[in-house]
Amino acid sequence: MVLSGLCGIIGVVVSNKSTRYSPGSMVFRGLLRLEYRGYDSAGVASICGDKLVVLKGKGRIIDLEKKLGFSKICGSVVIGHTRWATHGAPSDINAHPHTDCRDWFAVVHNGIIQNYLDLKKSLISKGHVFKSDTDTEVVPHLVEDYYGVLRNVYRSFKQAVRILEGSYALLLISVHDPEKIFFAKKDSPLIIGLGNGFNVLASDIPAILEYTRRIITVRDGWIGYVSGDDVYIEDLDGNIVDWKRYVRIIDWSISDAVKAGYPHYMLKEIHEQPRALKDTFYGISRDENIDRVVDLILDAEKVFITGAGTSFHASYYFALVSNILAGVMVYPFIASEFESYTNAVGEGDLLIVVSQSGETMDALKALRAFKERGARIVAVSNVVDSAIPRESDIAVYTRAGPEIGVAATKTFTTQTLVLAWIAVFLAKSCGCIGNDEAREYMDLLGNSAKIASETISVTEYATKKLSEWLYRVKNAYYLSRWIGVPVAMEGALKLKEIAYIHAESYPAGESKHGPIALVEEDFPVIFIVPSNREVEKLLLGNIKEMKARGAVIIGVVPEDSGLVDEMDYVFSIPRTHWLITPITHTPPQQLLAYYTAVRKGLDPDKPRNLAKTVTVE
Amino acid sequence: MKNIILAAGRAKRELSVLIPPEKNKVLLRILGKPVIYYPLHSLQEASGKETIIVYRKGEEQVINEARNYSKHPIIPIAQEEGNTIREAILAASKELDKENYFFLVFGDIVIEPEPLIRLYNTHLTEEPDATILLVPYDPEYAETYGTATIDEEGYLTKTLTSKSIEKPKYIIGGAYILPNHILDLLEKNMSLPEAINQLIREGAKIKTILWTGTWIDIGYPTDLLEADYTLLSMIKSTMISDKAEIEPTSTIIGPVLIDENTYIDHHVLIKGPVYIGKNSFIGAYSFIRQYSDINNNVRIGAYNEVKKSNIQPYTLLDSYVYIADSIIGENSIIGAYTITLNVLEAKMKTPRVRKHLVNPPKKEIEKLGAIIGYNTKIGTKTIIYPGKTIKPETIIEPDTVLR
Repeated sequence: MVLSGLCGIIGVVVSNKSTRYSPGSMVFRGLLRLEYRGYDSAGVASICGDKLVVLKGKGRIIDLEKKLGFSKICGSVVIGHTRWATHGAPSDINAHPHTDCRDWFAVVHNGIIQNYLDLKKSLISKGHVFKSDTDTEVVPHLVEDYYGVLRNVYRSFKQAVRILEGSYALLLISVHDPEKIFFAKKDSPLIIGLGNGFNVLASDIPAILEYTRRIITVRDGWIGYVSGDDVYIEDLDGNIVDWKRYVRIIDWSISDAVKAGYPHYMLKEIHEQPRALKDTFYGISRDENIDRVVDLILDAEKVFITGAGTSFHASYYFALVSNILAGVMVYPFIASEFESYTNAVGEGDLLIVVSQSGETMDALKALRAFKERGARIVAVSNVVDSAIPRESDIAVYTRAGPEIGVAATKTFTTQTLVLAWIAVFLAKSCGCIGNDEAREYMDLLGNSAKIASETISVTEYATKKLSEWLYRVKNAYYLSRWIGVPVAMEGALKLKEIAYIHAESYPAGESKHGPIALVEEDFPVIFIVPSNREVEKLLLGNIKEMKARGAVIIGVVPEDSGLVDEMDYVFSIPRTHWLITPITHTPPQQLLAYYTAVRKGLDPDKPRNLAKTVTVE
Repeated sequence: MKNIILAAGRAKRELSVLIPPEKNKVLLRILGKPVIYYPLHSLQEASGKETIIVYRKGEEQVINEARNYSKHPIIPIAQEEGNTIREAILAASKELDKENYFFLVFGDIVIEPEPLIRLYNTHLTEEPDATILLVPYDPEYAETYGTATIDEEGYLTKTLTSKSIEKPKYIIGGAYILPNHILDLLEKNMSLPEAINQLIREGAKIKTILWTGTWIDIGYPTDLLEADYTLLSMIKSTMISDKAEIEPTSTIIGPVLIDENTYIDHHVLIKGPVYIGKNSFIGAYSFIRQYSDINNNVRIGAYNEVKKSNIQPYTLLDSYVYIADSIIGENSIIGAYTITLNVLEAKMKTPRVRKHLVNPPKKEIEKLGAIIGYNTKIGTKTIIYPGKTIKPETIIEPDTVLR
């Protein structure tokens, strides 16, 4: 089955009198506003004359608009859908809207119909022909089935909705009642926007704010329809709802609407990490591909891992973990440098490609070069069926959801969760750790959402406080050892890209081989102290050598570490296992970069010169 | 949805030295305005309508002051009995019958409109069972606040008390949108945190909004200094009332706010950010330094130095006085040559003394001067040790050393 994932729906109905808006363009623009909810496939449907027209396909809305012309669809009643697959590949067929056998009804849906298999079976036995693998498609067929008996669209729709189990916000249009959009809602968001000569239905407020500020939030169990000038709603018990009582005026801006109460996407996404980790854990702990990935690694002669920017830091982390836990040598390299490595690659080798968007050009080129020489490819991505997963032998996914802030936050911690999970299974398969130990690690990773939540809350105040001073500095070092090195690299990258402060990261033992020459009075040095007593001991020496030169020592440190006393400023975090160092130690660094940027008056969501997905070399 | 501001709370012992009888802590002045102005203004920006203010019987001045600043009608509710938030909300309950929700804000919180607007909009958009404001957790002083935990989705899981063994996650920000049926739970003798926990146990989804900007709960004297620091940091330009008189030999380095009918004598140096209220006087050769909040009707004699201090109305500083990192209650007199010492010893624990990282963290020293009660007379040549609290209506003999 193909789940709907995180979706956005919209419907526009214009009365005959109104010529001010083209419903097609309203739906198209609304879909663009909903794009932050996901964007791997999209579609629209309308009634032109007495015919149902459906335009849909996979890809980004803007590309589909060029190809299919969503905004130019005819008719005064239009519905649309945008989808973000959490699993299951996006395809033209699986894209919404879905229709029945006779093209009488078109449906867009956000949610999951749990009993769709039973419904589908019984509909097929009645002769219905299904085109897609989606749960949603049962709805138009069900309505079609009832319509055969009841000959009334609304009553048929109501009957159909009554037997659905699961969650849904549904919009339906029909050639048999062509001036209305029928809707039903349970456990998925839906609002009605009231216009002058038109009405809009959408998953959330940003999609309609451009057209109207008078809205009704649809309650669970409500069902009804809207036309260009009217609204009709019944509640769960079949009573007519006096909807005028529920009308509210929204006086806020579109950008506020999608940030869920946070001033910036970046802060929202930092705080979303516990949920993203929980969802990712849910995904990987049920993903059969993990075993295949482990087998590929074990069978490979040489294993490489690559990524760009933050994804490289996750790659580097995997190289260290697989060595420490499983004794497996993994070669990490920066994606744009792939040519330096290809000569050593042949059949029997494996490349793991880490890319949030799955579209990063440098990573894609590395992938192709390795593939050409016969290497197998594993992708780790946040976007289902994007280019890199498509060209790979196996893909595993983070479930961080769309990341709008340009700086990677929740995608980094979820990438490291996925990679740590693979490393644990690798260690188990090669017999490097026993079942009990593996179980402990799995529990630890299962608990990582909770731990991230704690590390965020206990360090937020302190990061904001430190930003009062840090925003004035010009340079900073981020130092660590062992498993903390990639985490320190990620911290330095955040401060660079968001707060525009020159920050350099390297293994702490390197200081005396050069970099310490730069350290002078009040030079900030941020130590990432992983939870490992041996490493803590080694770092003590590095702290002292920095201190002796007048550096300001800042640390992300387990709360009970002796190093706390050596620091000038401490972000003290819960002591857990070193394996999840990226999850425990990265959030304070993200927050520090965020607050420092805000203190400097910068917009952390839009750092200069940077784009979210780099699809050029 | 009705607006409610609670302004009947009793001050903590530490803060009460600054508040004369017949007054309430919400009447303490910050940049010339009573504390209650800040939550009232922000609440009405978020939800512009009439506002219920629960005040303590006998403290009618609270209502008068609130009316001075309110854009909408004020419904005063006198609380006659009890000291708790529970009793204050119940006092207002008769005004709440028909509404589904009420928007509750504590009257002693310095807060901007933005978080309350976010709270209100989020509540209207997502329509949870309740919505509450949280602010980042400050481990150092967490025990002085109400705290809460949240789940991965950002919903409230529990409110905590200082006795709880669970680790708190966020500080409760004193702004709530609550369903009216919580009144039934309060009637059953549950405190507000208990009633919220009961709602959660009954399956209510309580949405939280995290606010990371300005938020200061005025619970301790040092909170006034924190509020001054924060609000004065936001001032970007100098504004001097055209009814203020400034002698030409004085020097003002911005940003500085000077209110009407205030006189600045010759050779005064003011280095902003500084606020000087109405009808005040700054004597010749005085030096008013950063983050000083000199409220209405204050008289500062010649050759004074004031730094990062909050001086409440009608107080008088004689000549040659040094006041730093201090709070002085209203209507007090500080004798000539009095000096406040302000470098706190590391072991001294004073609630909510905030370090501000003007310098690198290793060089930042914890500083606090004196907390001087209202109607106090300090004799000449008094030396006051750091962090010392002087009770109200005290008379100190000249040449005293107060440790």
